[in-house]
Amino acid sequence: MSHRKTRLPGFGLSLGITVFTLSLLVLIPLSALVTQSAELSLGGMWHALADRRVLAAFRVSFSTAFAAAFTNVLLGLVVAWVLVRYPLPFKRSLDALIDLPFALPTAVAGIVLTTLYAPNGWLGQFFTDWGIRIAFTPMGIVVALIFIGLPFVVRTVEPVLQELDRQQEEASTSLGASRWQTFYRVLLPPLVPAILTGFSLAFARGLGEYGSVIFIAGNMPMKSEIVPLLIVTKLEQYDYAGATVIALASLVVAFIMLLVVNGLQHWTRQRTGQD
Amino acid sequence: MSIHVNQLTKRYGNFTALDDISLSIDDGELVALLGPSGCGKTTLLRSIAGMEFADSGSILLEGRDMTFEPIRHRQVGFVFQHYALFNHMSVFENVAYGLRVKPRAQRPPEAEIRRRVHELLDLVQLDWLARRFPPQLSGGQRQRIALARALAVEPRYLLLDEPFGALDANVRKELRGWLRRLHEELHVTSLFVTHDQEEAMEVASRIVVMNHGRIEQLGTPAKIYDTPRTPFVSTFIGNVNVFRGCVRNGAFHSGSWRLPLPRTLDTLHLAEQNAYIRPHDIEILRGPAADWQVSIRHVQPMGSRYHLEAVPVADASGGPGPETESGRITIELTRQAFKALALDVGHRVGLRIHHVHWFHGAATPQQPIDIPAPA
Repeated sequence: MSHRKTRLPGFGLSLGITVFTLSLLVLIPLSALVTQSAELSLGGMWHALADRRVLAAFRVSFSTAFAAAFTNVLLGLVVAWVLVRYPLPFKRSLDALIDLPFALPTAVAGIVLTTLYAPNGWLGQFFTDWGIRIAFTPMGIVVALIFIGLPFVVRTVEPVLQELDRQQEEASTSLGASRWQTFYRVLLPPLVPAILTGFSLAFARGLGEYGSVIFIAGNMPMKSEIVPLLIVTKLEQYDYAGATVIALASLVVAFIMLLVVNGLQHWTRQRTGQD
Repeated sequence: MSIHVNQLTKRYGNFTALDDISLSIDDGELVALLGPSGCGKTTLLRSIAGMEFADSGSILLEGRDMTFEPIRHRQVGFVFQHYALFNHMSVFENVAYGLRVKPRAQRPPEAEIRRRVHELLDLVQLDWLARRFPPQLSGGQRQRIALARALAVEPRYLLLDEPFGALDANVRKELRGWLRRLHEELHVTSLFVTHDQEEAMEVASRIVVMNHGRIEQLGTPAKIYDTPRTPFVSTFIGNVNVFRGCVRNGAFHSGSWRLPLPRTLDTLHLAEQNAYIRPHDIEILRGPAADWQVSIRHVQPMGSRYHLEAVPVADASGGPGPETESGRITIELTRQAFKALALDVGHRVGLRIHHVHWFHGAATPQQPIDIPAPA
């Protein structure tokens, strides 16, 4: 170990604070989760996870979070584009509106969306005419998660979009590129890392979301039951070990998926010389 | 490939960016659009490129009306002040871009693209940077890459918007000479915008001087410098001393100063006539044979030349001296002349005026009466 002095002061102190708070708030609770689930043997864990109802909940949670995050990427990109590029009346209010899903109690969002999208609700009735049910199905979960996750994509893409040099687009068209070519060759590549960040944030939030989803989901086992609800159910049945095993499993899977997204991000940065 | 601009006008609200501009540029010319910021030069360039559209008037490229054609149909290569390189693509891909986005039928095969790109990178002497990314390059290198990228699609016109404006003085100087040589080699009709008169004089074969959305004068660098058509051109191109006054009884009067004019102009009487005198058209004399007497206040060595600042000395009659803009007179001497005269701050010397441009008033452009002063 060398004892080289760094030019930045306060390294020891700031590292200490970081490690302390991180331990207190993140590492210790997470390891408690691991030790709790260690009450079960490996076989017991496997048994708790391989249950059909548990697997179905995982499938519902991951597929709806993925679908919502993916939709949010498309939607968020358009919203960010409009907010950055066009002069709009009440732009500031519109901009503030984007953050509202952050501030609103999620249960409120869930109840409002349920009322609107219920088969006889304001919006739901039109879908009923087409034979589509939104509330009380996985589709309803996706709708709630889109609402919750949109700000993540908008807020990560917006600043990057603002920084983009407009003249690059002019340069592209002057070289004979069509609008579409300019979009996917010049505009999109610098946005990809931000889009991936927004996607992973929205996706992670979608996996953990509880409050808004339980109202609109209908919570039918095997169909529209999400993992967080299943955990709560197990807790209510005093099955603490079972609940922690599911929690741990969802943690591991989420961690792996976020790792993959980060790797993807690193790869795109490297490929485009941004590192 | 000629460019004709006919009566182009463009307004932004109350501001007139282009005011009835007409301009012709012949095939293979290298022309500078010169003027102070806000004079409309960039708007004119962008209108010719098709990035902006005028309110009225027309633009003809090679005799074809292209006024409303979008940029991608005009076959122009455009170079931006801040390069506008694609930062997420390598230098090679930047230059190849114009070839890669061509419709499939016109797109050259990969081997041909490689050959073309390396040829262009050789032309700008940066082939060794092909695999780098733009943020890793210096400003001068980036601008050369931007030029190579613009040339890749074999444009018929090259339009450059303050191409050296963001570079430091040394690099700017180097690239000027390089751009001129490149133009001699390629002979693409080129138009570049600058606010730097030295740059325009050094690079362009013709200069368009613009001010307030209008063309003040159009001509070769020598012509514009030697016979400026308006007071603005005279003051914008190079330094000039302005003396306010009038012509009466065969002499120019400015305050208590008097400058005799050639005999042929004896009968001339002109109110509000201003004399524009270049610093190097003033000779310093020791002795009483001079037109005017001044006292030297400041000496500034500029390498091969010396700039002097002098203030008028009250004459025998005790008059207030001439009416100038700053109260000071700038004189430029060669190093040799300066050494020969052994001048220093505080010396009283005489001035002999060799050449004067005359303009009536200051505001409205007028035909000057060019009178060589008596030698």
